Amino acid sequence: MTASLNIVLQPLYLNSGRGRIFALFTPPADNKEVLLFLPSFGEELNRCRVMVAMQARKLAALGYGCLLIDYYGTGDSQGDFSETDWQTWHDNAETAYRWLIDQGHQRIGLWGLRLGAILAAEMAQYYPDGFTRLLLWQPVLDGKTFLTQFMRIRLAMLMDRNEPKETTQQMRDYLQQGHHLEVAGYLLSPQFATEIDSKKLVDYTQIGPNIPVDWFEAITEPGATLLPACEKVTQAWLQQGLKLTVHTYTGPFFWQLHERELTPELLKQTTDLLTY
Amino acid sequence: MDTQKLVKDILKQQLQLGDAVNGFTADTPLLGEIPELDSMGVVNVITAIEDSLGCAIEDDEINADAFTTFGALVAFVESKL
Repeated sequence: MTASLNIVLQPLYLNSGRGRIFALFTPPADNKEVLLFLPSFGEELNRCRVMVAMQARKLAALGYGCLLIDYYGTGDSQGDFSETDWQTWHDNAETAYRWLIDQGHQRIGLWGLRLGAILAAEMAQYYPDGFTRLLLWQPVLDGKTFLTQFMRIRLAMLMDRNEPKETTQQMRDYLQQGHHLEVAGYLLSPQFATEIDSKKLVDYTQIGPNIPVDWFEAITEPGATLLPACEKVTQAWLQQGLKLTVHTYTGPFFWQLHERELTPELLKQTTDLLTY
Repeated sequence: MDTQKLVKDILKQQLQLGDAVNGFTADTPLLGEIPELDSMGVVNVITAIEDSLGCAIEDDEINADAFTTFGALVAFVESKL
């Protein structure tokens, strides 16, 4: 158990189209898989760091490699958030993938968290037979819904300050006119907003049956059913023949919380899945 | 549907309030009294309501009135049923 605490994630920079992106890497033992981790959006990135680093170390203790990237314009990578967008994130993921291949790693799995889960699904579909597995932590289902929830932060802040209200529609109109929109200190570009609005996890049905897809979804109490929107996507994927397994877990919604809290059940289930 | 229980569960889960929630009554003040109920807290609670009920909450429904007290929030959720 404590072996995982001795594992060091090495910082490095990769050259991706627009600039250098930061990554943490631990190599795999022998011929074991390397997991390419694609993180979440905005403040979720920061909130999830501890859980992700913990999981990476636990997997490394089992012999897995992990490459944890920060997208351009986020975290410790070059660039500003105002300059980043989905295409850039996709390019970053490709850069990381190609780097792993160049390093001689042939068995590469994808691990996506929240909005990064949609990107992971996109990558898996883009590269048929390119990846050994698709691991999805609490995926965002619908980009438009997600962006509306993000924009609501601005709405709530305007409420806090007793400033004139804006509707999320007005915010979208503003973006449409070519302006960046400021939300909770993040300058969202019109390009990025358009791209996120277009993303639906259910669309990635061509992932194919050859790659195991493990989806981890939080439920509020043991025995609870999946929320309807989630059920819809999982059913659609199963009908399209994806090799999908849904794992439910209880525990703090770590991607939302101010206070850092661990969700041990998710760590345990993910580790158990990959223990063989 | 036990709306009071649903709202208590949402507040507990989204705002990490713990067992203090169990003692909430209609008059218990929320917005302005509970530090965890800041902009993010409001957004998370609204999202949780949407997800739990499978409903959509429009922008113009999001105002401070629904969050003044526990009773006000329960009434708001009931109006969405």
